[in-house]
Amino acid sequence: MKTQYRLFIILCLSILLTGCWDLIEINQYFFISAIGIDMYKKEENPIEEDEKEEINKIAQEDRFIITYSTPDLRAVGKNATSDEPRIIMSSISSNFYETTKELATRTNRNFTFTHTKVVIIGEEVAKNQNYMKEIFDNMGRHEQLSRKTSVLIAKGEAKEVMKIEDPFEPVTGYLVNQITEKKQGGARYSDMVLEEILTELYFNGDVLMPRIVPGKGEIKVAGTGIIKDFRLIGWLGEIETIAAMFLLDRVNTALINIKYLDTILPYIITNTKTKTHLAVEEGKIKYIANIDTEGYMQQYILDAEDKLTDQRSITAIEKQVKDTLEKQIKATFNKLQKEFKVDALGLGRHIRKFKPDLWDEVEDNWDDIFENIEFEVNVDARLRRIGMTK
Amino acid sequence: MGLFNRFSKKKVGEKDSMKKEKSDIEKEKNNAEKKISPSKCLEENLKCMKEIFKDCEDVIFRDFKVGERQSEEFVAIQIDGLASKDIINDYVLEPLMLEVRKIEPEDVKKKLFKITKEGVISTIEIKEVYDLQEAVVNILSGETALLVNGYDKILIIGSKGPPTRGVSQAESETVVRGPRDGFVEVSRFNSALIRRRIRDPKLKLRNMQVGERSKTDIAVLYIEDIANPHLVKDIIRKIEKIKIDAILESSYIEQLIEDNHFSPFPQMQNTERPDAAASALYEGRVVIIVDNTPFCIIAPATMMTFLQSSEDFYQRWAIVSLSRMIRYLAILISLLGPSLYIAIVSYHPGLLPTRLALYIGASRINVPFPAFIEAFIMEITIELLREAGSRMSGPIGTTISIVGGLVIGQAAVEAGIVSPLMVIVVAVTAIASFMIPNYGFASAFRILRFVVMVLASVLGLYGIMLGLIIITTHLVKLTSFGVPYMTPFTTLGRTISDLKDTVIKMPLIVMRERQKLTRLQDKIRLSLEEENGNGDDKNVRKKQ
Amino acid sequence: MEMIKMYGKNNKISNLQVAFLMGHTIIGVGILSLPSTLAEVLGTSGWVAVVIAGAIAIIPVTMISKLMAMYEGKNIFEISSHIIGRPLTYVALTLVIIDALGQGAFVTRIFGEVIKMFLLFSTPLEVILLTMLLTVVYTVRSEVEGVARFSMIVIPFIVIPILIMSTVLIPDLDFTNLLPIFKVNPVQIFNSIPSIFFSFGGIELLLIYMYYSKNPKSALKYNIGVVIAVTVLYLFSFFISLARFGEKGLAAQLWPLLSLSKAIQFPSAFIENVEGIIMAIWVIIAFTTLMSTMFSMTVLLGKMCKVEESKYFTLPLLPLIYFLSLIPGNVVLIYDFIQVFTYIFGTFALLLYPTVLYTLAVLKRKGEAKKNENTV
Repeated sequence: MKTQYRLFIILCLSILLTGCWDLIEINQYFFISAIGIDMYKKEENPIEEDEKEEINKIAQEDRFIITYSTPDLRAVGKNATSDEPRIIMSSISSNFYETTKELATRTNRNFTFTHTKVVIIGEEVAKNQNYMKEIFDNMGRHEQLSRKTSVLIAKGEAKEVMKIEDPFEPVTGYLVNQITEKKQGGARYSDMVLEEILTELYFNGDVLMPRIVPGKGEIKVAGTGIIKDFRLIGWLGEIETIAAMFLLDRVNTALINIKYLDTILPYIITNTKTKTHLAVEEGKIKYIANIDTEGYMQQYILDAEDKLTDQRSITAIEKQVKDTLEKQIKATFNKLQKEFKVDALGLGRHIRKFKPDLWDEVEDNWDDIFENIEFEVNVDARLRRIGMTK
Repeated sequence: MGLFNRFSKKKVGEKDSMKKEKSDIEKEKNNAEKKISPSKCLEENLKCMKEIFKDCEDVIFRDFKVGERQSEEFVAIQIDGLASKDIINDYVLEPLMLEVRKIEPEDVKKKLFKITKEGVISTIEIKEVYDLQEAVVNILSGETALLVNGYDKILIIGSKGPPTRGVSQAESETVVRGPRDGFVEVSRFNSALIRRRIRDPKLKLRNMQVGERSKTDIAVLYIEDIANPHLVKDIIRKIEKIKIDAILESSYIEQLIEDNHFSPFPQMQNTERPDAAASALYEGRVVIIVDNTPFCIIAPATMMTFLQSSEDFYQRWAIVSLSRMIRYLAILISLLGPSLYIAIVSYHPGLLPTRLALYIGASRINVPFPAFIEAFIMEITIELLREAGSRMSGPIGTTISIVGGLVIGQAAVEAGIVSPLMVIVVAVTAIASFMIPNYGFASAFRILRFVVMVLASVLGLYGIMLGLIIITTHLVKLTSFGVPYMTPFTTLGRTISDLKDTVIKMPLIVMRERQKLTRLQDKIRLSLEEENGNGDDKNVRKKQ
Repeated sequence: MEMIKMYGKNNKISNLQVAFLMGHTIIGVGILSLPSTLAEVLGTSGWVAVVIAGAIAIIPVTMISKLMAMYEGKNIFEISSHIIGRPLTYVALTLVIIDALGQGAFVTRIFGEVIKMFLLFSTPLEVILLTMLLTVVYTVRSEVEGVARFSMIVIPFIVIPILIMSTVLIPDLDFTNLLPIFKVNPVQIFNSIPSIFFSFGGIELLLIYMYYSKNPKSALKYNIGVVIAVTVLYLFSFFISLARFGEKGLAAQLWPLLSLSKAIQFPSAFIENVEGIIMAIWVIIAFTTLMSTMFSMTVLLGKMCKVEESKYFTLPLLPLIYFLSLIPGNVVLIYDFIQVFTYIFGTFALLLYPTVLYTLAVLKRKGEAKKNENTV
């Protein structure tokens, strides 16, 4: 009887030999590093009529132009056989799964998204609420996409951005990834990744997303796109982005130009901590941001009258920093509050966390109430170091 | 319920053809009674002996006459080469032939045997036997048989002098610091080497002869008040049950008394070093010395014992702990190295960092085979090189291994048949498998490596995990004479103090208790005397 | 001398091993989806439900431990026959077996789905399930000593990687997401307890394991310790997932712990994707749960059929679990399926049966003591 059991088990094991279903060699893969999503306008890019006939009858409507950027394996490593380090492919479809399948008819390799670093959403697509909802749901649901991917909004078309080939890092995905992950980059862009963006979006659909701008032969990641209710309603410039990042407490280092002694001097902020307070005064909600900063003076004036080593100069400079920063932050918040009317800074979430009872009251008309919040910002600037010379 | 009747019987015992049943033991006793009694007549005895040793032309028959009147006839029988001629010449023949003349002939006549045995032969080892078969066995062991005319007893004189090499360094286990004597092929010398290290009368030694035709001397050593008496009894009983025609090496004994015959893992340790054997005895384990081989068996053994080397106790704890941790790592690498490569490259490139994934992908572009074929090819090549290197001894063997490895590896990469990372993985795996101190244990992992590679080829990382689970289950089920193989990891409650010697080895000061793996009697190994402030020893009895 | 007597195979395992076996069974069933269910139903105050459920779970554990300690050396079949009579015992034990079957099938199916999604995309589900079940059969056939030792030895391999990865995850966590902690709605919590409680399913198998304990009288503290440890583990995973995803985000995840693994990145980016390690640990966790349920089913069947060697029942159970696990048509239905199972069989096996046995046993003891008093 024992032998019979053993035979049975062996027979069962023989099914293992019927195939290695998932065996795809690593060199068979295209490791998609960046995905770009653009709007497809039929009128601008017409396809051959007869091909289109068939597709229209049985397929869904095409809505996007989706571009993939992937490094070319032949150009990696010591024995590189190819000069072109990357490949760009794009296709017209209604979602990016269809793109994958469509491109499968044109390429000899499999696609994998496990190493995707960046998703770039074109401006047009970002303005469409339903599309954005779909795209973000997809990114959250997809089992291969890492939740640390950066999501950026392109000014213009994502495809334009992806076409640019930077000489140092030709592969778009890695380039953008390295730009955003650099350590001392200054706070001109929001470094939120997919994870954090999704958290904010799940709450109420408002968030700030970084912006990517195609230039001549180079890509620039600067500025922010303001997303309200899942769609793009405006931009924040670079300085405004710094201010917004201060409010979100996401600044590592930042440069502030201050007017001092009839000239503009750069002041570098090295440490900052923002504390947000929400208080209810006389039936109105007051939002107080206390920002403590430390920094150093990067550049002064040679042989000036007021030496930098004089404590009074330092105090004056600190005051200038404080004023400049407060002005910028106030202006940015004003823009967000009055002009765009969007709570992209997560104030609602903050209330819900720290003052849940208050949130219960204001939850329903949060949009209106947000418009009328009083805002106060206090910056405390400390100059710590002055460089190498006195 | 007829189907279940079969299940309700107790477990069926094993019926081994190599083991004796009760009936066999009785038969043997009966056979033993059919001894050949020697007759009082020398001629008949001699004829019998010559008949038994017919065509054995290395047997020496020396007949000589003793007594003043040269009236008594003696015959000495020994085997050329096995017995020491000097002993017989100096201490048997000379006294008998020369000295006996000095004794009164009357006394000589009556008490010849007694005088011979007790008064004349000046060797230290001497005994009487009453059976020709037994005498034959003794002759074949190297003793000398003395036939005396008129007596039906035979004198056996201890004269063993077999050809042997001197005590030299154990070649299979070398240490940087530690004794350099190793066992030799004579079991008595081996037990002597151990006795030197344990000068305690509680070190008991049981002699046995195993093997129908080889009658190999087996000695079982144990320290009486440390070792578990059940363990000792169990081992001795199992050895006595062995029925085989020849024991050529201790591994025969090992294979015949182990609990799990089909497991790839060894369940007993073997060593060539006396200090390792002595240390095992101090831990309450049992040492089995087998004649004709310098490898003695230590039972029981657990996985921990296979991962220790003698040097562990001679070096300082920090470096030993590091070595131990590297050995664990070596086991994992040796088992999983190529499988991980296969799984990650063929199934889950998402698990690698991006740069590495690109690099590996790039290096495999022109490789014609899928990863698992690559891995199998390289593994088999390494196995071939390893076997070839061990066939050829000395410098040729080393050269073949090194040159073969380098050249073939390099050429394969240049030819584009394998990717360079594969060669590295396989080489590191091979080196890791050499790190395991015990060869038998390391070989188990060599075999299992292929099994896990097959699983990885079909099911990727999931296959590797399944393989690991199956191997762990097997290891966990394994027992060595009742001691679970994975002690102390699986029996934390009882043997937690054993953990001091597993991954990290604590300094000797900390390890006060013996390893509990065999449920010993005498548990404390190290006790320290503490001094109080006056400088007195607390443990010393004060003089009254 | 008593220690030396138990030299060799004796079918008894230590209390620590019993407790760990039970712990392994509990963890496989609930840990994947628990944080998400909590966030969905209760929001940030879900931890209260976990604590309460853990506290409630201690009750059946105590009852079972005390029951088995009272009847030291007898297995559940004998105990139950003694208390409620043989025919009822057959019925009750069959229900327990079905409960274990349901849990086993659930774990098998979830395990298969997860592996299919993360590791082996095209491999047929059947192959994954079969290979896992065959491995479990192999382990279960080695009887209680092998099963217990296995459960002991895998513990460092589960605990240490989880600790390391949690440590790496901490800088990314936003603990303010845990607020408001104390905003508690008692009615909601009360309603959600039953479904949370099924995450503690597996405790009833203690009925079977305690028989093998060497020293049942002192087993209670180990068992309670393990229940507390499991509660702490659930709390820990809940807080970490909540801190990472936020309340709504967590509620939207199907398997939050696995999504977490996608968010971990070691600083120097050497091992970028730790989901491989998490998958490996998940295989072990699911395996131990399956091993435990299958083992108890085997033993129960053996005892009910009065058979000495119950390991022959293992292989026939394989097709049963296999087909049962394939019943739900899609991932969503799996959870509905297990809800049904636990409401009927789980409540019985986990709550009703031990309570009945324990109370009747205590009453019987008291009755016998009184009788003895009277006769004396």
